[in-house]
Amino acid sequence: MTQPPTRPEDARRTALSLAALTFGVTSSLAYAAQRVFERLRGGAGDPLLVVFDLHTAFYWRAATAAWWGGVAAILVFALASRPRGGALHDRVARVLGLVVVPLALVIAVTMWRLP
Amino acid sequence: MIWRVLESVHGHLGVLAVAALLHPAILLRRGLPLSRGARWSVALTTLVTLLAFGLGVGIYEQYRATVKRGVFLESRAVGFLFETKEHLGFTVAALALAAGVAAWLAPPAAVSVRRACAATYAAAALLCAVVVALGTLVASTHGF
Repeated sequence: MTQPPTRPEDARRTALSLAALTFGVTSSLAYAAQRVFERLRGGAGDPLLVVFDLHTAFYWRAATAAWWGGVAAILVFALASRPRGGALHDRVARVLGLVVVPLALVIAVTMWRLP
Repeated sequence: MIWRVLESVHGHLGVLAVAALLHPAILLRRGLPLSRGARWSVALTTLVTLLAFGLGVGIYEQYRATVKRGVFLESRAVGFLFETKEHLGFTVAALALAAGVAAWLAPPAAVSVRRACAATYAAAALLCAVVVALGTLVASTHGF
């Protein structure tokens, strides 16, 4: 269990760590969500379109996912950096640790079914 | 020729990334503070994973222009599995970067944070293994 930080510097570093983990989880989720949205809007994949499609779509999808990850990270950092944010640290870390592996499996299956 | 070499380097870096991602997943599972060696492990793991991802992105345009059509002609299913590989590659890179930064910054008392990092590394290793398996399948179907 994470001990409540006693030094401001430790509290800041813990908040930054949680923000980084939030970035990873949220950007992965945002990328998969965009891809699912594209497939639902565009229908089943056509090999001809896939072959001729430039990589620009990937860059935009990745950049947008990173942007959402950044927004979520900033929010978590702001919440965890508050004077009473120390109580949140352990809870947020536990939730992130619990959700990340199942989330990865869900993303893998989704990207397999909706390539 | 150079593209074939880069494709091979990309594949080998991917296999290395699977092993590298497993190491901090095991190392951090108890949440103990990072030793000097563990810090190197975390940093190098993130670096190798991002290098493999970056190289894949770097050779993609040439791959699309000269190889991708052949993959779809050989097998439509394998062609779409390459798309799956690409999407999962982004997830692996994002998770590895996040876990690396988090583990590096976490203060000694942040046990739960390091355990969350271990879980994130485990998720990244799992997905990276899938990416490597798909990449091997695609490369064995049609390559540069």
